[in-house]
Amino acid sequence: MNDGGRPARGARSPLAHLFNLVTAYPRTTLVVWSLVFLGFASQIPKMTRESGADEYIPPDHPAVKLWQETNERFDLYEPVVVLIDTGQPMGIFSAESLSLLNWYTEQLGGISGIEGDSIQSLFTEKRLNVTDDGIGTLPLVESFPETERDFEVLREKVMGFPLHLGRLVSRDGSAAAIAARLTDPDKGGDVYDAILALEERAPVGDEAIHVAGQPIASEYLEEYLDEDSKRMTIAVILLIGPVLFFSYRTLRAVLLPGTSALCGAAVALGAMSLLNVPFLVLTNVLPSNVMGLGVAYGIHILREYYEQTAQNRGETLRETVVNVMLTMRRPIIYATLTDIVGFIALSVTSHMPPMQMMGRFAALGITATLFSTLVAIPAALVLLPVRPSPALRPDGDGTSLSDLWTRLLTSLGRYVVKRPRTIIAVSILLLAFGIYSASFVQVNDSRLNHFHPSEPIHVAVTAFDRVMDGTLNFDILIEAEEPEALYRPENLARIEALQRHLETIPHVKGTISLVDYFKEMNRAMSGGDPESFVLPDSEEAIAQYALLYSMGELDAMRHIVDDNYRTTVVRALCNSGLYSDAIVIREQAEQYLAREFDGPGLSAQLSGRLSVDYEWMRHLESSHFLGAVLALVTVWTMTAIGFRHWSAGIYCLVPVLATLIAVYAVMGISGIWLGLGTSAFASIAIGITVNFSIHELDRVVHLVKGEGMTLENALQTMFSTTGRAVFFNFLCLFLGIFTLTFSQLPPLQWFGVLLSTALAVGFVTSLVLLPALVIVFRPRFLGR
Amino acid sequence: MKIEHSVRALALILCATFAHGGLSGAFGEELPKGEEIIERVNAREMGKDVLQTIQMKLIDKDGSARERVMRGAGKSFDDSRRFVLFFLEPANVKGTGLLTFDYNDAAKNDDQWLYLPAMRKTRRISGGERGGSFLGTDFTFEDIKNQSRGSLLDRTWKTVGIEEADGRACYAIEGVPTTAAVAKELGYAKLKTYIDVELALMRRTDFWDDAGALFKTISIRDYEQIDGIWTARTMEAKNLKQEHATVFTITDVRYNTELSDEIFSAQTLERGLPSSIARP
Repeated sequence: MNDGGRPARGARSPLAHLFNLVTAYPRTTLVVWSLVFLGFASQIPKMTRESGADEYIPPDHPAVKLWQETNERFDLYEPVVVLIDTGQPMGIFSAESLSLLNWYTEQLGGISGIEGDSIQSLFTEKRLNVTDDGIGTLPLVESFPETERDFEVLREKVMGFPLHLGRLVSRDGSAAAIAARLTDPDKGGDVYDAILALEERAPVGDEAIHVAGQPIASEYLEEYLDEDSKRMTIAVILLIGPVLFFSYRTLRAVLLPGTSALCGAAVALGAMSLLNVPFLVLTNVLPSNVMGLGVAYGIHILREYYEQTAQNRGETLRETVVNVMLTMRRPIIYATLTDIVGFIALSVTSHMPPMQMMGRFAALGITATLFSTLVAIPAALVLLPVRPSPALRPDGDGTSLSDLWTRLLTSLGRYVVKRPRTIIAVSILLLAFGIYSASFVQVNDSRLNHFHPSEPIHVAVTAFDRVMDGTLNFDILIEAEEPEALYRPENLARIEALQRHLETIPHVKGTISLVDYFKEMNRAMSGGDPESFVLPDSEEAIAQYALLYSMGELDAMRHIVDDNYRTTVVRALCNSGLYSDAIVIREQAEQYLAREFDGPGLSAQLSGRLSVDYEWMRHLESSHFLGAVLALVTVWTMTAIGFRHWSAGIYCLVPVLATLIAVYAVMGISGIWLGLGTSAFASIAIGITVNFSIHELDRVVHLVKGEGMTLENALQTMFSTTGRAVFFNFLCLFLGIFTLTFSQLPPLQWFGVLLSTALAVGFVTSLVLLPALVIVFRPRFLGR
Repeated sequence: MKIEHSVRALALILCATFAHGGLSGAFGEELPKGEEIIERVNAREMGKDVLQTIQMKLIDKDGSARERVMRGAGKSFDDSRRFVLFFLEPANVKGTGLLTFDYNDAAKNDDQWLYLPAMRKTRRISGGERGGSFLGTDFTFEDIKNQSRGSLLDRTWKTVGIEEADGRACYAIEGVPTTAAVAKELGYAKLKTYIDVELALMRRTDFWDDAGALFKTISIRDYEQIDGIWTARTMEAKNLKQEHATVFTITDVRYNTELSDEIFSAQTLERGLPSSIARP
């Protein structure tokens, strides 16, 4: 070890007392540490798991509250829907397809977990029937058609009944849907399985059967949660374990960093359980992050440990261990703090509760890992017999330890020191290209994007959006100043005009309101004349129609208007959940409402799932960049303080900024959106990638100032010592984060891809560009 | 449509005002059977004809209320009881009329007519389900029918004890639909009704759903004797799930006024509320 025997800095610091204490009482320390570890770990099985599908926005957000109030007021719900798609215009009116529709309608009623009375299909719906003799309701399908003429009559009747077009039957007659309400929205999985099982004995011909609906989507997410947890836990162990072993080829190299990281993950998850914070799909990234980061601290300590014990300076093992810890305390603590900063920045700037929770508890887990590293590792090291690492052998002059990796890194160091300007020039070119490519990054997302395109739920929603009016609803809640104001024709005319306007907005495929019901009643009362599908022109007629509706079985009115005819809801369906489309829909709708519903009489507000989704998606971009800026400023401040010079912060940030540009470039080139999962990468990447620079610069500062080396020699030495540890640090982190790509959830996969990319770029730039800059510009904080 | 039932139910509101008699002293030490109590309740005198004003108040969970006022008449004929009902308030439904013939022959469907003044036409209306909402209220058609009586047709009754309701000692009787289909049609799995021991009047009924949850209560209050017939002045249905309530207040009740048969005709609906049955 070429810096062996250097006095440990901070020998009289409070941490020195801590290291002395834990190495004096190692068994007691490990017992206490184990109890804390096991205490938190024991809470993990009690943790609740939720899909979190509706938790991207705080529950007290006005948009959520308005949506809930609207749903409660009008007894609105999100159904499970089955689509029978023939793929042929008017194909649903064949004997086979109608039989299939009828069969599914009957079978769904027998599934436990479905409210039998809630089932809606062409075979359950009724229509007003008004003749000269009387008024009544008749089933939309009175009897199963038998002759060709029967089919023709039924087709004309159904396609001439506007209330169900786009909802229960596609506007081209190629498909029909069945909607059902769950008795318990949390039991979507059982119902989904039961519906899928029906397909095995359904009289299906050429029709495609699709099952969708929010309860199904939530079930998918919950299944992902369980499956992802298993996959990623196994992947983390299988990937990081061998890397830890090969870093020093000793069992302790696996166990010490590994258990420290496990402890961090256990504390984070156990604390979530204790505080009744549910484990959500997005929080699945937490264990991978904490584990990946946590092992890094131990790797650096073990590197110093093997180097110092190889020196055999006549110290006791305890003195050596304390000295190792004192030597490594600063880079470890600063690296940990920057990691924490990244997660805290995410937590502070994100508007989404799952992100906030992930940030907070990851920060807690990393803090626990740091504590574990500073306490348990030294305690364990003094109990373990000193054995050299088989991976590190003394080099030719016997002053340092080397292996293949050391030699490779030493060669890299030589090149960097020799060709710094070439490296800087190439880096500038790459960064310029990166900035150009980054300009193509799009902020966008959709709930559908949470599912892989091959997943049945993705296929089903796509099919619904293609043939029906869509799966994503939004509502306009309209309130009058006084009861029964919605009987007035002028108010209903305003609502009808609103509907026609909404239907001109791209992707809004259909709307329905109480106006449609009154028009339908008017048509029925006028002998079924299609030209009478208009609003009655008197308040009395509308009030009496309303009375008639309240006396009958057409109680769908209760889902769109209150008893007092003061508040109503216009329901719209759109066939795109993309944020970019939601912006257009929302803005155009709001502009219209501001223009036409601003005066006295009627007021209007936007509600519904699209409106809620818009609220969380619109903050993605701002919170992403705010989090990144906060993390950058904080990391700069911390590194400037740590190295006691403002320029040190700048040097540390160079690889970080290069990393961000590279990742944005990847997103721009490959078309990866800045969305739900990916928006979290920046602040976390900043906190993590700066660690490489901290470890490297700390060593160089020590070698130059403490050992009196030239800058070139110090950099060469850094490559062969700290560089090697940084390499294994990077490898563990990279693999830990890379496990996220095994997730079944595309946002987590993209998050894993982007963060892994960030780590790779950050590692390379910190090991190549940063030393090159140091050589060329010779910053003052290095002492020369 | 349930319009038939609407009319029928409204008619039964009128019937309810024909109540008389009691159970006091009718039974010995042992509790009488549920069916016996129901038979006694149903055997009350209803009068030859009745006139009354019904104020209907719909109360939302935020406390907001909407009112309708109707004036109705009922009369016994040889083959049926006939009822006519006119909406008085609000103004936009004023003049709307309903007429029903409730035939004594249970096998024969009721005849019903509706007159909407805005359409200026009277049309016959068809029937619907018993468990459906009555005029958009918290009462079902069946509730209205049974507001002071009990059906022996498709329910089994069991006396479970004597309990207090509305401050009165009552027989507590559980009624269970005879089949699952009936239960589904009626919209409940079980009810418990409280019959005044002394007066044989229904005081309260509670309803449970399939899951065993109490979801609705109906209270019948403010009984008084009018022309010698026990008459309920207030009926309140509370839907505990929807936090919604409906209150019927019955006033201006008169019995046995020798109403003309011609009042109970479709032509009367189109002519509007006859002065002979108008509110005093």
